[in-house]
Amino acid sequence: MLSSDKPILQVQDLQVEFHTDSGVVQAVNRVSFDLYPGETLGIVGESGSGKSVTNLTMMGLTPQPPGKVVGGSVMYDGQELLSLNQKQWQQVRGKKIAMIFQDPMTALNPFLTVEEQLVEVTILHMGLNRTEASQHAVDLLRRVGIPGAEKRIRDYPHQFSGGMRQRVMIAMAISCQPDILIADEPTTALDVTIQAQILELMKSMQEEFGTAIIFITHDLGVVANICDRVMVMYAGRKVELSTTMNIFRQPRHPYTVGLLNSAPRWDQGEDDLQAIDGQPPDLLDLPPGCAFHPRCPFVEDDCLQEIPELVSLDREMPHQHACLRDITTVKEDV
Amino acid sequence: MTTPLLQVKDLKVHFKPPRRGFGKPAPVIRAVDGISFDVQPGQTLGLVGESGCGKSTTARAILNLTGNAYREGMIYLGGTRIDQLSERRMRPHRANAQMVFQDPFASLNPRMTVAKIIREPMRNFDVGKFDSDERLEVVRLMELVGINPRYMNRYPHEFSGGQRQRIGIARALAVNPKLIVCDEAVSALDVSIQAQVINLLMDLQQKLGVAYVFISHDLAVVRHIAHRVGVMYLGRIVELADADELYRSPRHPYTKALLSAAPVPDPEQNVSQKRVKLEGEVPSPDIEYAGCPFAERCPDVLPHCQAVRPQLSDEVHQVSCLLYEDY
Repeated sequence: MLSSDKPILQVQDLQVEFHTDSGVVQAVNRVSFDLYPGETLGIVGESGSGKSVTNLTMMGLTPQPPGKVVGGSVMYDGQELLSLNQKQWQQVRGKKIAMIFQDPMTALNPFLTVEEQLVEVTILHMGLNRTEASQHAVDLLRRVGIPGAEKRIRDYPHQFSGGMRQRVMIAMAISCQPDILIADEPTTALDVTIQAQILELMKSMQEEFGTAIIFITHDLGVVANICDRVMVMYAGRKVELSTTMNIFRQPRHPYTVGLLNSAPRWDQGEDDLQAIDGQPPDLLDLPPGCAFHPRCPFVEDDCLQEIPELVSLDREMPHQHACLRDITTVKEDV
Repeated sequence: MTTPLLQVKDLKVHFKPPRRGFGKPAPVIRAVDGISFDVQPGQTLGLVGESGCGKSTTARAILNLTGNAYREGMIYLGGTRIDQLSERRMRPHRANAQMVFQDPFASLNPRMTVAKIIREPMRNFDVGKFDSDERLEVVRLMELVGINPRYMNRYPHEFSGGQRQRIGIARALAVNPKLIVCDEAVSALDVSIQAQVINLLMDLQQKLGVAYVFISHDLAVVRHIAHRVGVMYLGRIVELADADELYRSPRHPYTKALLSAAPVPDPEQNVSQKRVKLEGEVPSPDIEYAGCPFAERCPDVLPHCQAVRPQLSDEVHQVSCLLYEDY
């Protein structure tokens, strides 16, 4: 759904640094993107690409120190999120922007029943009384497909399976009907059949409430399945952003191409996997110029000199990429 | 057909959890409940399934590493029956079967240099006779797995996850094994690095003729690396066939459901992909089933599935389902 033209969230030139003993890491380097109501934006990248830090920052959860938001802006509904104090954050977090994490066991409090955790959110943000909140919590659990919700609500997190725990997390996240849901690898720890159930659930919740979802994952299969648009990150930078179809059909950044070629597919077995050569960069010691150049098959001298700016090639189809080469034309002779 | 390098016959591994307090004794966990398969020399057998299906227990059982668990059935490695051997008598056979683990951060000793890590199994099995031989061998192995031998005096923490996994592979290769059991060996790696390690494993097989038992939850990875693939559910193999055949025409309802749930990195394919929706979750492996353990979730269940235990058929494409038995 890209129909609504006014973004609900605008991230501009976001810069986050981490000050470590061995030096300063630019975890997020001038990242900008918009999020529209009702859409799912995928953020793809490997370990250390800055995808999780970007999203923690949008929730005001960057650990500070060592983290430090150096610049940029995150506008939500006319409000600058980066200048909120802790108290103001509490009005946004959980209510307007909710988050689900990879590991529900560490995200849920093991000492409290699911009911206590669900009720806490709605009493705080929606001003419900205890009885209303309990009823609401049972409704939520039922909605996310937990059998026997009236009874299960009094269970502790460890009494649920991994998939069921993730459903509880989703119930908690949608309990105040947030405008934005940030999902950080929500299905990575789950088995495929359970993953399919959770993705299905997220889609139906989105249809019902019109929530915008930011979906962080390294799994290109999941991206192709659930995302409307995709942003690809490498070494803290946004290297490509377009519709899911464009990213998969006409990728323009060599890293995106490499990622797609190295992802095995169960429906195709014959081709060899084309791995990307080399190792992900050391964030403390980034290569000069384009951070991807040591691994890039299209590298030329100028790639070592300048950091490529993001360019949009097509006005009709917004497709940004940060590469000095036009790989759609040189592809054949490599 | 040549004699199989590894033969597993009716393997069962049951765990009995310790009694807690004065309560009822905890039920026996039937982690592996009667599986049979062969691995040919130089070939790869993939085992796939969801958590709790018994694939990792199978990996450990093959190498006699299940400790005090109750075990039944027979395991032959290179024609010798190894499942009843004592640890001491098992030792010489360990050089023939090595293992690569999932977590390259936990499986390498942080206090040893890379050279020492790779040298250790050689010393244990007297592969290199002299120090100079050993050194050359370490260099050769490091080059083989794509790590610059210059780094032989570095420690594991100085390497990335992918490089550590390469070191783990070099260590496994150090004693010239005929079989390497890989338990989720690429699951912790990023996609681009995962592809490198998969390609490395396949290259090594071509060069050295080593066989793999490759255990993974990732259906796509297994298709790429395996010649034959077994699908496990609740401690049993429900389907076992050549990789291409299994993925192209799966027969067991569970295999079909598993494949249809696995997303494909292709937006158009995902739209057209037919999904077999599986309700519920994998039940706990502490129940003994008279019939097919998948019956209660099976979309194609027949009236007698709960009562009759299906047997793995005897064809090249083996399936354990009453739909394919004349019943």
